[in-house]
Amino acid sequence: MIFKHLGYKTTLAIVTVSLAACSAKAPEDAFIHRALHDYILPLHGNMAERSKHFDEVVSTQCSNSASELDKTALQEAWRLNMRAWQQLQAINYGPINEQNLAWKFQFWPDSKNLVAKKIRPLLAENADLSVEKFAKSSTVVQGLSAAEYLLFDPKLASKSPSKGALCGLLSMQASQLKVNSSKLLQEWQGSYGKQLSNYGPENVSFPDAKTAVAYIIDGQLALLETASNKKLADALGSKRKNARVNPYLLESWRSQNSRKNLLANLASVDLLWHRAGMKSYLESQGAKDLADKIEAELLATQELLRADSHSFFSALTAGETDNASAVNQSLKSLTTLYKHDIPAALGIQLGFNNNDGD
Amino acid sequence: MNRREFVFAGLGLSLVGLFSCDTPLNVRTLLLSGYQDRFNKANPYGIAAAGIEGKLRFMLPLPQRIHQVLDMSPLPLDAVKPISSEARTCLAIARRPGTELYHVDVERGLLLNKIVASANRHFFGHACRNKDGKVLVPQNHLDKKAASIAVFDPADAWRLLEEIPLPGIGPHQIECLSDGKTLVVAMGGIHTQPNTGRRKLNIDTMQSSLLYIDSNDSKVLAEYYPEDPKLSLRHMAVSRDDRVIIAAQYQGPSENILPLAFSHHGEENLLAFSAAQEDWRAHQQYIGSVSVDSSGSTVYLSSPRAGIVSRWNLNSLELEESYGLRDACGLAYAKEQQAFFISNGLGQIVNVKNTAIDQVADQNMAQKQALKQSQINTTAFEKAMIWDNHLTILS
Repeated sequence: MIFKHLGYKTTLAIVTVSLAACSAKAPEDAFIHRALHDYILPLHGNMAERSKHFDEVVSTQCSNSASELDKTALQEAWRLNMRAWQQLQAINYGPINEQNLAWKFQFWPDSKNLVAKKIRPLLAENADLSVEKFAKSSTVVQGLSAAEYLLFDPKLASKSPSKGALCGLLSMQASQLKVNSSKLLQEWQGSYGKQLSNYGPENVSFPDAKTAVAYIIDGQLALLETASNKKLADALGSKRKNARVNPYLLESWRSQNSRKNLLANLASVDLLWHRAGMKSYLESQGAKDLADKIEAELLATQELLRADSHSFFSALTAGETDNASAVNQSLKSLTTLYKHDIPAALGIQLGFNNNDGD
Repeated sequence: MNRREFVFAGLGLSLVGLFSCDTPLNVRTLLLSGYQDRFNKANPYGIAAAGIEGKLRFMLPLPQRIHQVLDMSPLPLDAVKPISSEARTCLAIARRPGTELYHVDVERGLLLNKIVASANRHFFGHACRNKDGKVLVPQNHLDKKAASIAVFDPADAWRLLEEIPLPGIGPHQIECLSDGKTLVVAMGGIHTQPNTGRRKLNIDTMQSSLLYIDSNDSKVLAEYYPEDPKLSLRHMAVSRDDRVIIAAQYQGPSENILPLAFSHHGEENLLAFSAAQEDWRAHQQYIGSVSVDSSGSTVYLSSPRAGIVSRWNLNSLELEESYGLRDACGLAYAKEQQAFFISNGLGQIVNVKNTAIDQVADQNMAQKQALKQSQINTTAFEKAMIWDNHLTILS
């Protein structure tokens, strides 16, 4: 049995040692700095820009005198906005978590097709939806999945909803995306970025450098886990016995953008890995072999995604699952490296109670 | 000085700087929790105590991983005897499939007794103590699909007095109500067996419930079911007037968004806490712990998977505020300090003063955020310490 009671003298002795240690910056410091300035802030800036652009295209289209919307221009702006969001998903900490905003950007998964069910009544002639009501309405009708329904859904298109009905909703969706992404950027540029940089024992969010690193890497892991466990696995039916392939469980089946979503996810991982210095940080911690392994797996997954030009929706609809299965397997391998190997190499904790089950 | 000594001396240092000079360092109030020592792979588990000011008082390695720590301070009935600080003890309960209880002197950090479960039984990590001082511990039966409550008498060398049979399976937290005889048990409804690890064996057929039992005659007084049988009722807090607040973990599809907390105080049904779908979604179907203040007006829920804790108004059952805190699970209310304390898997213990900030207008989000942040203060931070799910306060 061990019992340690801290005496006054012991504490004083350690004060001297630890104050000396405080003057040297932790080896994590450079990585945290680069992660903030070369990754977190640029991705939030990109999201704010793309959301602003989408809102501008919607405004232009909805205010012109044409009787119908130019869907091609709107769809392209939506794809750019979606790509920015897919990259941003790895930053799941900070204001987006504390203000519960992620679902306002994208409602997914949606196996019950709630997006269609909730939006259809709002397109009716007599639908009364004010900006205030919209802001308080379910996230199902807000964000990129809802806009995707309006811009891409084949059944909806066949009913030719009026320009006015589409614009009423699209304008509010795009405006909200713009406002929320701008708000996130401002908060990262302001207090939250400072919090991350100024880690330390009195900083509740980031009590030390390793915790700050753990936040950043846990965000990567969360992105990869969603990519490997949800984005393809559900549609492939690989999670349950006797489950069939169902392309309608793909993330962006309406726009056939699911492959691009995954490419954007991995572009985000790649950005932190190369440009923001995660690879060199890992190497500096004596984990060069692991860094090489991750580099190879990341590249292999990206190559697999680019190897097939068909959308996952068209491939799965045609019963062709080889490429999707191979991508999913590769994503799983990459996820394992982030989940087990990186925390072990860096001595960081990626959640304890959150995996507990009790 | 070995590594362990350095680590804890370092904690002492960090805490010197974390507290204002007017914080009295001789306060009796203690924060107790099970822990895992990140740097000690050979012998990682134990319980530790920190003073309310944050200074670590002891860590006691134990063979099995601890879930809840139960206050075993002298009961009011014993008050005729002078209460010395040496008299304070606690009981650390091993989590499933653990088989041991540890009676610990919290002033000296000494193990007083180890109590082992009967053959073919394991504990679930929770216990309560009734007015007579008997300790009641939910347990799983390994020789058949059954569960019961083991009743121990600490005053008689921790003799096992009886086993109160339970009508369901997978009991989790138990609370002893103030009448001295009524027990309330969160029946999680999930069947597990040690030979299959912590794997859930009956998700398709599970049925959770809230159970009231008369401990005098083992009779079931009432049983209440959540709307969805897969809503596993796991944790509870009880207000001073015996209002039971129940927290759940959902075992169904990830898209089913359901209320995860309930109140019960004699009503015909469990009363669900009220929040928007998005707010429940933010809790990621999992509440790890629940705590209520001494006035019975404020409740905190922790959601370690989501990295948030949320504050609720117990009168209206409505959500008031959410705070981001990574891997936060342990919750406890300190009456004297009028603050909730929160522990997490990163070695942090923080405190939140029990005051409302609703006066700030909704549109002034920035100000509200700033106020929210400033309300959360660090009590302790120790990198080595992974605080386990529950936090207990000994006044």
